[in-house]
Amino acid sequence: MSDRDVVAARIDAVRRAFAAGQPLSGSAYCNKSADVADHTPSTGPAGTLTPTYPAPAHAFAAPSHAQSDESTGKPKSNISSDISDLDNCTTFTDFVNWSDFSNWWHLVT
Amino acid sequence: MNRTRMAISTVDDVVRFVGQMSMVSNPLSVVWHAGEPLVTPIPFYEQAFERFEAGSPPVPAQHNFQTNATLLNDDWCRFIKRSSVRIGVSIDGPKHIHDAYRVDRSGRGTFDKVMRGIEKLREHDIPFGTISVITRTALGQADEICEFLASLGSVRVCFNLEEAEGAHRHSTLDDEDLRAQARRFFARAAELLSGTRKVTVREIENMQHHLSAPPGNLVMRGDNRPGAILNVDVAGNVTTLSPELLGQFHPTYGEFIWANVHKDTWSSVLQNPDFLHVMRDIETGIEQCSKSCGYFAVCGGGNPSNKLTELGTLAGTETQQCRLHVQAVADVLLDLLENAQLAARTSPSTDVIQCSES
Repeated sequence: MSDRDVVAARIDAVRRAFAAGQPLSGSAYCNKSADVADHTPSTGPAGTLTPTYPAPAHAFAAPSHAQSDESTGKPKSNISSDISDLDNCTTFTDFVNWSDFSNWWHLVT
Repeated sequence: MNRTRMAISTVDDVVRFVGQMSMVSNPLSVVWHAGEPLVTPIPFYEQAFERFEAGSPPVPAQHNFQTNATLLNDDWCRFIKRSSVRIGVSIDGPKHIHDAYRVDRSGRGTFDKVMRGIEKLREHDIPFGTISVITRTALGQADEICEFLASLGSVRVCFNLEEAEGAHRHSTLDDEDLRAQARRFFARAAELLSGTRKVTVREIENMQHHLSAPPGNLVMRGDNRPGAILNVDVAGNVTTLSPELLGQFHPTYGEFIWANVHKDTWSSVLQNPDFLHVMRDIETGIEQCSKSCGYFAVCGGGNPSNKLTELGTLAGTETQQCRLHVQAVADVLLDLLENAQLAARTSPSTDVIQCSES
């Protein structure tokens, strides 16, 4: 069995255990049990990898001002980018994932 | 330095652009970011927020600031509270870790200023999340970082493993298999934050959701799915998919600007040949991911911007970001859940999970 298959099998086994309603609610990590209400269904047909066009707009990222292309003497970095007022980009996850954005990852149902 | 500020007329056209799209979520999550959003004064946001409400049609919005917190004062806090803006603060950890990279233009560490901003949020009883960039050095200091973040009172802790992406071409986490270290880091975060302190950790929470989905389900990502995220720059230029694509130029893909809110609609994006070229390659990459990666069911095919920066193509597969920020977290959660399920079979009242640091 390849590494890929081992991982895929582990994921499938854990999901099957959840689906079977195994009593995990005493765990800090497993309190979702088989409840998948947070998995917002996508608009895609079952099993597809191809998004349906047009897809819904769930988030809109709007810089309030231009990004600077002037060097500040620091490396262009997503580490320090949000320190100086007009530095370069922040990371994608910086602004999308934080915002309690339940639609950000979608399950195809 | 370019100090151009988005015109209110551009906000008007953004609202029109978004309002014409079908299936816009309600409320729409609007994130003001890229550079420090609080540099732009409060009156701008008062006007901008009003434009969303007064649009035709109105676009109900939940506004968010991703900020370094250094400019927070009582006026900002009153506005944030009045407008129900959600706040994310960028802070990497205790002073010596934060100040190693987060410096002002004169090279001075900003930790003290950030903490003053956080104190303002606390004074005004404003909930906030945190985002911490984890460098190679920080990767080995999980306990110190987690204990510090737990002490801040953040409602949601997020870790960004430093990644090569967009304008940031190289990461301190490049060129070495650091997955075992990343696993140890997230195992400690799961234990110290999610477990002991009951603090929500974005990576743990997300992966838990993916792993508790019905068997056979796949995750679809917002950053490789057209329209899930719109990105608009100060001039009204529009892109979708990974926001880091906006502002980049690539010899194969061009500028990643596929419309402008002043003259186009969402349909313009969908008909743009450059966009269609990008999508063909992204879909090729996703398909290859589905065939080659065991984590595909909990990932959804990787971040296009990371693929472009690390692999030079959108049609590629595994990146360092995959290994450290997806696979490592999945490994930790799989260990935890397998242990919990094993324990549950022998003792239904199990309350403690041992974290594996393998």
